[in-house]
Amino acid sequence: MKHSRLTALLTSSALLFGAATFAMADDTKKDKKHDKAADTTDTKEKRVKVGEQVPNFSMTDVNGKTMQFSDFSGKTVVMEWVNPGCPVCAGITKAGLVTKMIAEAKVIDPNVVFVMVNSTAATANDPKATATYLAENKVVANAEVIDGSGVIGKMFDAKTTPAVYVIDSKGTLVYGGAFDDSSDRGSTPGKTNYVINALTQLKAGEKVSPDKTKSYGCGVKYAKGQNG
Amino acid sequence: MIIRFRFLMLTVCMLGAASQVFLNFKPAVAATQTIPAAPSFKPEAALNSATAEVVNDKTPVKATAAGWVKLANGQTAAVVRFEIANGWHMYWENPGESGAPPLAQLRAKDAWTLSEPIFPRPSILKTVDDTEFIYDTSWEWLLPIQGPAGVTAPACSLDLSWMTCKDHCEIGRAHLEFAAATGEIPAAGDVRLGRSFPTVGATATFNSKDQTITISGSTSSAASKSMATTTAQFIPDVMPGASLKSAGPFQAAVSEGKISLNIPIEIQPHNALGKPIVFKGLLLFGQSNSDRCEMIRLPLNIKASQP
Repeated sequence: MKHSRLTALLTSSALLFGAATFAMADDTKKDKKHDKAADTTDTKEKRVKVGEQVPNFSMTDVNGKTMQFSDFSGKTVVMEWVNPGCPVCAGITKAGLVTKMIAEAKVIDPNVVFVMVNSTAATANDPKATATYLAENKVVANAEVIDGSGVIGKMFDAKTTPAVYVIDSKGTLVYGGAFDDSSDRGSTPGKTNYVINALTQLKAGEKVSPDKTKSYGCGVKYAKGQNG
Repeated sequence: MIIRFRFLMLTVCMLGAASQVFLNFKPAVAATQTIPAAPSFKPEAALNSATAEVVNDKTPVKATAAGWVKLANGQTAAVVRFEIANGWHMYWENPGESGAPPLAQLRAKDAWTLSEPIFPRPSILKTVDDTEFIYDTSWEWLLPIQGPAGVTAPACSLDLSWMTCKDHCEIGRAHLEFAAATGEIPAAGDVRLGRSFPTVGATATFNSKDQTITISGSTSSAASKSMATTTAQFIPDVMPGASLKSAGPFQAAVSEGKISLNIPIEIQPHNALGKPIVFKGLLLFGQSNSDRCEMIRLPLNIKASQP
């Protein structure tokens, strides 16, 4: 009798354990499905293409100050990906092409906002170096952003430094790609700076053209663990 | 009965535990996939042993003038040999999603001109961040130089610059002097020079509904004609006005010399920078850099298929 009770107890325990294991496994499966769905949604939400609205996002500058993209609401925003360790980026910056672009842009649109972003993991971990690099080259931007996690870079699919993006005053991405049409990756300035081209067309109420070009320069090496 | 029931419970528990193991299983993912690079265009043991001495992390690339070759079309080309330090790479004419190809400027007397450089078959470097088309071993760059009729391979000089990358990138420069050729000029090896073998009779059809371009035609490769069915990889060149949805490579089916290739693409005439839109790239047979490749170059006077 005792033996039968013990057997029944053990059997019940085994049954409960089995059921619990299945239930936990099922929950894990559901969680994983949920996570995957969330990841997919996030990725889809975060990738912005030309012609699409740029969602609001947070930025942290070289001094650790946090700001929102929406802080620039109603203004045209130019974002340039920079990396002090990239000779192509440094080449156009030291040659004064970036300061020239900013000066010309301010003539076209005095309210235009310039955001310099460093998403390259190897140099983004030293915000002061980015700040010094921009200051030494007399680049005066509205924000100097450190994107060590690569979230902002991934959102715009920034592949190189320098790569530039123009967002119009309504928050629509209207240009993405190369800094200019230089035939030698910036060693000789191109005839057309694509940011100036886009701002001129925006001011004239025209459609930006070209709105997408192939950017040149060093690859943005994102922090490991960031899925592209 | 009790034994059967116990067996059933044991099975249930084992299944439960097993399911946990399966759910927690994560396949190993290679972060970097590099198609193994073959030896240089014309491998020379002496060159390789010299390379180790002249290039290093401080001087990752060395360029030398390596004489003249005659191309299949009769043109002569100056040969620049690049030696690359271990771990570094240079770029094909379409670097991929980042990087930049080398550049050359000819300095010569009279009306000599440098026409479009010829790049050998590159390797494909895939990382989590991007896809690049690269050279990571010694390679030779052919620079066709045209001059007055009857005159070939003049004394001239070339100013070169290039981007080379490892964990960071550097720009290198060189000024090379080429002596005028004397005697017979050797023919260029042609296996990796896809441009010498344009694909014959290929056509492009653009399906506007699913934004896909279909390339079909015949390869010039005798080897692929003799093989019943095989596959090849296509890597795209720079194509302003044509935006690919991924950097590639793309799989092409090859059957008895006929190729077929479908590529998701967006045609954007306003981004063509005023130039005709041309679909171009390299069809790579085999996995090794010494395997054959062919150039596809099609002006996109696209016949759009009905949606």
